[in-house]
Amino acid sequence: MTKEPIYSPRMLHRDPDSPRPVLPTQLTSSTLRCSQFQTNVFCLRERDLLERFTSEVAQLQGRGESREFSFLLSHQLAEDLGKAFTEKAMLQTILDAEAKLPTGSVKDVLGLVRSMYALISLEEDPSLLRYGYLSQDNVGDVRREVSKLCGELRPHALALVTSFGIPDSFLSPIAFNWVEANTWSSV
Amino acid sequence: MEGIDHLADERNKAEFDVEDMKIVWAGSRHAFEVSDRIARLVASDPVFEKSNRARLSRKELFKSTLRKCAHAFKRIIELRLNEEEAGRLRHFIDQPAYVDLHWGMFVPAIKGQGTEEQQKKWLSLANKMQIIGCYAQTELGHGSNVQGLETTATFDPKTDEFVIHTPTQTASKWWPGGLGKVSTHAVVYARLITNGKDYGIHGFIVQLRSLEDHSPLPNITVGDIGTKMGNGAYNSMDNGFLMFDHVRIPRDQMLMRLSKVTREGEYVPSDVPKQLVYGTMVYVRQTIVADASNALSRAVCIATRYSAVRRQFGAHNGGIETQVIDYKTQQNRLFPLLASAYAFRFVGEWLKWLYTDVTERLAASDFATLPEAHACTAGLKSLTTTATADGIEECRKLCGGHGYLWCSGLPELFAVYVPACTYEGDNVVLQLQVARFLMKTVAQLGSGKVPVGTTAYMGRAAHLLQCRSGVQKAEDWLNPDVVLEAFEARALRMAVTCAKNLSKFENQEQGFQELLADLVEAAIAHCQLIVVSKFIAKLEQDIGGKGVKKQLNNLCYIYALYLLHKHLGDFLSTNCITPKQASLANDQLRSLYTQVRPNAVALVDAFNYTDHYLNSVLGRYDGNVYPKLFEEALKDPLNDSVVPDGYQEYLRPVLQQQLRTARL
Repeated sequence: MTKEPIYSPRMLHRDPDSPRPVLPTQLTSSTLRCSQFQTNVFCLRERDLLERFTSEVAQLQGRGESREFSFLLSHQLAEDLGKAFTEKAMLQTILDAEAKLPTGSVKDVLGLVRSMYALISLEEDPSLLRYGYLSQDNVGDVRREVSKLCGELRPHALALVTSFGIPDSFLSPIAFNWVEANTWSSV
Repeated sequence: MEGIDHLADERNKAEFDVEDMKIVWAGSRHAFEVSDRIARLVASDPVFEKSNRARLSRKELFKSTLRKCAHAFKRIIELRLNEEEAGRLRHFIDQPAYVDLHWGMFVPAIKGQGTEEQQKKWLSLANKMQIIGCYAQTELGHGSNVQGLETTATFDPKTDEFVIHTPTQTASKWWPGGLGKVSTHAVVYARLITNGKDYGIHGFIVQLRSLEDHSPLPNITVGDIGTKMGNGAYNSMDNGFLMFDHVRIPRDQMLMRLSKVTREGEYVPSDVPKQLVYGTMVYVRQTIVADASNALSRAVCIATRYSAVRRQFGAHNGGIETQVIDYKTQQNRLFPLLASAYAFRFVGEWLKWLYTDVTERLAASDFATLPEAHACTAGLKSLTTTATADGIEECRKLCGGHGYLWCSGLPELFAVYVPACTYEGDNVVLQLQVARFLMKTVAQLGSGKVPVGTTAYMGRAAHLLQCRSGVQKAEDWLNPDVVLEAFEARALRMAVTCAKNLSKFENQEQGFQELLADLVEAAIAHCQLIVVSKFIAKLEQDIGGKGVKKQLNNLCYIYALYLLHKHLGDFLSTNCITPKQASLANDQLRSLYTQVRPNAVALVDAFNYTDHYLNSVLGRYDGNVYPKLFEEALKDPLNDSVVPDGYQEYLRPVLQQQLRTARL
């Protein structure tokens, strides 16, 4: 059987001919919140995992395993790759939405939310360390930045959920005054 | 077809004697025999049937629960069951009820906090069910923070009584099981106020309802708090609310073993050391950890059997499809849960030893190990209940769409289990207590004080802080010293990193608050180390049976290497292992899955659960799933009629285009 590529890299990358992104060694707060940095690290992760996955499957097939079984055996890399692709797609969608907004407070808060999404995704992903995309110090920087973002989002938390525009009748009393809602009125 | 064992082929693959593994799981041959006998007794009694639990209304469900409790009491007397057997009977009835709190909280509270005279009077009534009691502590406004309770108990020297009062809405008692409709009495926790001073939280025995007609006593407002999560589950329990309008009780109904109030209203701490309450704490948490392994094992049993029955994809040339248990992804999700069930079983056994050890030390007035025992049990309760709750839901997902049906047994199992993550201490709050203990212990490193118990590894800080794993091939990860060193180094380095970061803050408490997320993770790493080390310790014991220890060894290293994979960021970021060594661990984990695969069904058969107890069509012992799914569907009340009620009023007018004239 012909060993044609399983997936064409063009299907997964916006800029197939761009060089592999290079990440700065020092991750400052402004770097971590920079959309270009976030995009670069998400693209780097995805591309590297794709290369590892195709390489592993090719090796297994080269040893005589069927394509289906090779996929099964490589399920962990496949899952990591699937997740990397999905998270990159979501980040890109958020950035597109953000770019359409006029400069102002809404755009600023959305930027905080976007950075929270990007950094929490990175913080929870062990493949960044396993495959060397980030160093140990880098991971520590990401973790501290997530903590800072929590503090900065805190004053906006109520307004952000109010923005969902969910009618009161759709929400349970626990979203309002739970104590009052459970008081026995006859007392 | 009826009665044929469709999983016999799977059972024949076992490389160990399942009867021997049953003894290991039960803990002893005696425990196995008692449990097995009582389980069959319950399963064969039609009153204890529960497969229609989701088809009853709330009132019907509650009444049937009262009936089962009365029947159980009757059988206990008729069969002269002892305390152990009675406990197993209630366990296998498997329906949350007021009796759980009467025996599980009300009676122990009086034993631990009542004077000998109070015990003689009240335990006598309670043990014969002449009164029914509950444990009224949590309030609307305070659950985890017991010290913030608002209910008051003010001594009245003129009448020699305590006045129990609910000063605000948030002071209403809320959640106590058995309170809503059943209990005649309660141990009520309230602020003790005498001679104008607040002495903190104490327990008071309060009668709530008349023993003549069960009506609430004057100035007492009591009822059920409402429907709860799931079909069945805790909706058979009357979790209740309770409010006092200056209710009076005799002075001698304050539990006075640890402190008392004299006739003159003077508060007198007794010479009984307060540390004795820790004994109860360790015991309660041990039962919670044991419950975690029970609940997780039920879910794993169902998911494993169904995974061996269910086939999906993988057909070649029109042939039979592949059993989903043969997929590596299914194994990667299911086998770590199987390993966790055994791991929690064994750490639960170790906690039994810890309980006897703590009790002996308390008897000798030795309080030196109490801080460690407290932190250790708090962390293990949090770790095991969190993992079990997640694991039960994962097992439901592992069963695909059919897992969503109530008759799969998994939705109700999750709903009835998940409160364990909150009661007896919120899981996150408990891990913070562990974190505080770890920070204190780290602060003592270098002071010459030698840490003991589960923190003894910190005595080897010099080595653990700089060591590198010597792993060179996948099999090296089956060396207990290698695994322990990796987990110890990870836990220590995480704790030390937190301590260093804490020291950068001028205000210690502010720093603690700022680093809460990291501290919780350090606490979890410590607790995981405890579980791994106790599983390894268990393997060093004599365990009889052909091939038994081999399978337990496989499960032990599946548990450890799965955690290593899941928390790889911790191990890599602390430099405990290299990415290459992590990759070798992954290879070994995959190899272990392959070795466990033929033993999977037998390993869950070792739990010895009757089909009645499992209450799951998907997890039937005989693997006869699809015919039984159909049978259960036909029993649904919606199938009582071919044409549904409401057709004439709400469907036919739509179909016949007669909406304008229809009476909706």
